[in-house]
Order: sequence, then C-alpha cells, then structure tokens
Amino acid sequence: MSTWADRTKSAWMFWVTLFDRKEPATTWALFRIAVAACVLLSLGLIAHAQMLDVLWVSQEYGGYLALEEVPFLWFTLGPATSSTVHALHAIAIASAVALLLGVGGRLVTFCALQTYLSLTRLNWDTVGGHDALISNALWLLFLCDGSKTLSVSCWLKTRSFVRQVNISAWARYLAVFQLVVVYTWTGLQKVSPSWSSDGDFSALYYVFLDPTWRRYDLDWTAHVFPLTQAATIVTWFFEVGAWLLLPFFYYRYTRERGGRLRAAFNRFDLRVPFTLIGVALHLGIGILLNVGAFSWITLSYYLCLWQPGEIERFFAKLRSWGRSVVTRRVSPAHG
Amino acid sequence: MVWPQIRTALIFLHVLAVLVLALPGTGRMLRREVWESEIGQHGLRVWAKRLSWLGYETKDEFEADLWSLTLVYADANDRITRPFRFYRQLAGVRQGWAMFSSPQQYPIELHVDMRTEDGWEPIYRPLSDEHDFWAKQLRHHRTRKMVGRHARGFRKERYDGFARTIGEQAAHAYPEAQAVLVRIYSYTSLPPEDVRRGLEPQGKYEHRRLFRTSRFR
Repeated sequence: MSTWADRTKSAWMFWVTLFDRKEPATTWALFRIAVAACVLLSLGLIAHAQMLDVLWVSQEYGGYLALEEVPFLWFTLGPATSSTVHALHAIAIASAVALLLGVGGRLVTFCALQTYLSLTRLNWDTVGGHDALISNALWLLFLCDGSKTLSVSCWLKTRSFVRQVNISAWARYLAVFQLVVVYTWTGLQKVSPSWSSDGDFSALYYVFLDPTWRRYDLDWTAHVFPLTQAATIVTWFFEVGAWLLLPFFYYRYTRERGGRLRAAFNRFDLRVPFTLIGVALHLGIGILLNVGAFSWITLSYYLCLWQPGEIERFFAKLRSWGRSVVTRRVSPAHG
Repeated sequence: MVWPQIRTALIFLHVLAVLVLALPGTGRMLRREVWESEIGQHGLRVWAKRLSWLGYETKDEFEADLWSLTLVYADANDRITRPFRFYRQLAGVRQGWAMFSSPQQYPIELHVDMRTEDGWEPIYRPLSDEHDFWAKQLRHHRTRKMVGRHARGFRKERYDGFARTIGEQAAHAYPEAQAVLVRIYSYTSLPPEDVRRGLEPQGKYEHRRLFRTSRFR
C-alpha cells in the first residue's frame, strides 16, 4: 500500500517538477508572432473577399442566413448586424496587430481570442478546423504571456527587442500536446475507404479533384497517381503516429533512467522526420489547396517542438551560412 | 509550494478538457441527409462489405445498427462533454479538424448564369478566368466550404439564402441581365485512368433557383 502511495506521490512530483521548469522566452515569442500573423491572415482574407457582410451578418441585416445573436463568452452582443460584425472585426485585427508587436500582454491576447471566437462562431457553415487551432493557440498565449522578448514591450523596458528572460515551459508543452491530439484524432477519423487499400489509397487524389479545396485545375495529378497514393499512405501514418512524440519527449526528459525503449527513443531525433514530413505536407496543401490559414497555423505549432536554445542555434547557423554565401559572392569580385 | 501543485492540477484539467472536446462532434453525425448523401452511402456500402464477417448481408442492416450506435455515442458524448462546456465557451478549446477524413468523390460546383436579350450565358464557373463574376467572394475558402457542405447533406434554407444573395449581386453587376440562374452541378470524380484517357466527368444540374433581376432593382 505504501509502495502504491509512494509511487503515486513520486509520479505526481515528477509532473509538478516538469511543469515548474523555466526556459528562455524565445520559442514562445516566435509562436506568438506566428499565431498573430495567422489571425491577421484569416481575418484579412475574409475582409479582402468582402464577405464579412455576407457570411457573418444575419439575413435581416444583409447576410445570406438568419444567424443567432453574436456570442461573447457566456453572453450575447445583440443581433449580428453589419456594424457589430465590423466593429468586432476591427477590434480583432487591432488586437492581433498588438499581439504581433508584443504590446498589451495578456489583455490583448484575451481580446484577440474572444473577438475571433465571437466572429467564427457566428456561422458554423463557414468554420474550419484552423479556427479551432487559432483559438487554442490564443488561449495558451493568454495563459502564458508571449511578449517577454521579441516585442515592443521588451523594447520599452530595455531599449532592445531581445532580452534574456525565462518563462514557464509548460505552455509550450501544452502546445505540443495540442498538436499531437490534432494529428492523432484526425488520423483515427480517417475511416473512409479511400484512405485504405479498399479505395486504392486514392484519398489525396480525390481531395485534389474536389472543387471545394483545389486552388487550380489539378487533373494532372491523375498522371502521377502513384505519387498521390504514396502521399496518402505517408499522411495517414504520419498523423496516426503523431502520438509517438509524447513518449519521445518523455524519454528524452528522463534519458538518465536507462532501459531499452528509452535508449531506442533517444537514438535519433524523432522531431526531425516529423517536421520534415509535416512541413512538406502543409506546404503542399498551402500551395495546391485553398484552405485559408490552415497550413500556416498548423506549422506555427511546430515551433513549439523545439527548445529555445535549439531555435537560437538554428538561426545562428542560418546567419553564419548567409554571411559565408555573401562573402563567397563578394570575394571573387575583389579578388 | 502550494502554487506548483495547483498549477499541475489545472494543467491536467486542461489536458483532460482538450482530450474530451476533441472527441468527434455529433452535429453532422446526427443529420440524416449526411447519411443519405452519395459519399455517405458509398462509405456505408464499403464498410458493410468489410464487416460482412460480423453477419451483415446488406448495407441497410449495417446502416441501421450503425445509426443505433451513433445515437448511443451522441448521448454519451453529450454527457461527457457537458462539464467542459464552460471551459469551451471561455477558451475556445475544441478540435473540429478531421482534415479530409472522407474525401469527396461526388463533388458539387456552384454555377451562375444570366439571361439577356441574346439568351443565356454563364457568368461564374469555378476556376474559370472567363466566367468570373463575384470570383473573389465565391472563391474565398469559407464560401467554398459552405457551398461544399451541401454535397454532404443539402440544406435548403441555407442554399436558398445564398442563391438569393448571388442573384442580387448579379442583378447589380449586370444591368443587361433580365434573370439570373443559380444552380448546383453535381458529378462523380473520375478515377485516374479515365482522367488520363481524357474523359470529362458527366454530371447533372440540381437545385435551380431563378431570379428575375427586376426584383432587386
């Protein structure tokens, strides 16, 4: 009995210690910037298409569909009139700009979240999975302020846009968890025959032909059908296998404990193939299909897979590579 | 050291909420028209055949059992998610992304035509550079999504409202138009071998809505 109690206490303390960890604020600040850009893209696209008054305004006031009153937290803001919707849209844009710049802290994040939720909940026919990903990200950014560095508020405090400051790491862990849940659940829901041999692994081929999604005429994909089949299989395994990131991170964090499985997980960095496949998948979607901010908000979560030190080293390498390229190009002229 | 303990408990509550609210929603699942759509019936036929070892001889038997199971799931889902609705309202924590879980093999397109003194002529076709009336609006991803949903279960009230909006916009954009026709073109996507042979999908027009432009002027 005492063993059971000791184990429970020890497991609990493991998580308390894990969630108490601090890390430099760089990754979280980059996540903030990327999410804010996605909010602006999503809201900007609908404004650019001049569809605010059609899709999100109620029929009595000029829209195409009778909508319920504008939701806001547990209340409503009255009927979905053009002025209400445009006001909410303007506040959401202003909050997203402030979030991008890193001013206003959690207050603007909460404002961006609630206005975005109010707008996207108006008409469920026009909601996409990326709206949920955006609101999930904004909530995490509200729980843990992302404007400690790479922000105007940082500049106001220190006269520098960058500063070495530590923040809690648990919010980044939750973003990774969200990404894993998203992929794993969507993978498990792919029960349509076209994702299996019964449907000749034709899922992505039919997606490319669907006028709902395709950006261009993609009939040419019929000529590279085996490639679309391979992409279908890779996508399914990639999504269903996304949960492996959780044991990967756990074993990485407890690498000193030993054990074969732990050693196997620590042998290579699972994040590298995961990121390469995911980036290829989402860039392909972003280029070929018209899905709004979907690919970009999903890729924003990928930033959270990497610790701040790793991201800083990556950018340092990139800078050094850029300098060497410039030097190589300049030196022959001078040589 | 109380705060770290409380924070850990709150984080676990968040994780639980994320998991529960990621359960497949029941909204579309409970709409009979989604089951009766061509893609819905296609999926049921394939799964009935796959699960024939369970004793299913026809698609209808399988569909009836699956419908009963869906009702049980919907009830369970309602009970499980109820405690988390407060949190969903506050934080927007939900996960509705199935990402092409059931790719559409029976797609639809929205077509718009107008009648002038010279007869009928197309003014909007998807991907057409020539017939691109209100293209920025109709090609916006949220509009496409809304239109595409009719392929998985037609909803008359929603379609009628949008068709009327298109009719009104066309009436203002084309002073020469006497009438505007909004309709859905539905077809079966061709398998790759047929596309390679140069065949074109043959479809049919449905849900025609004709508007006299005089009513909007």
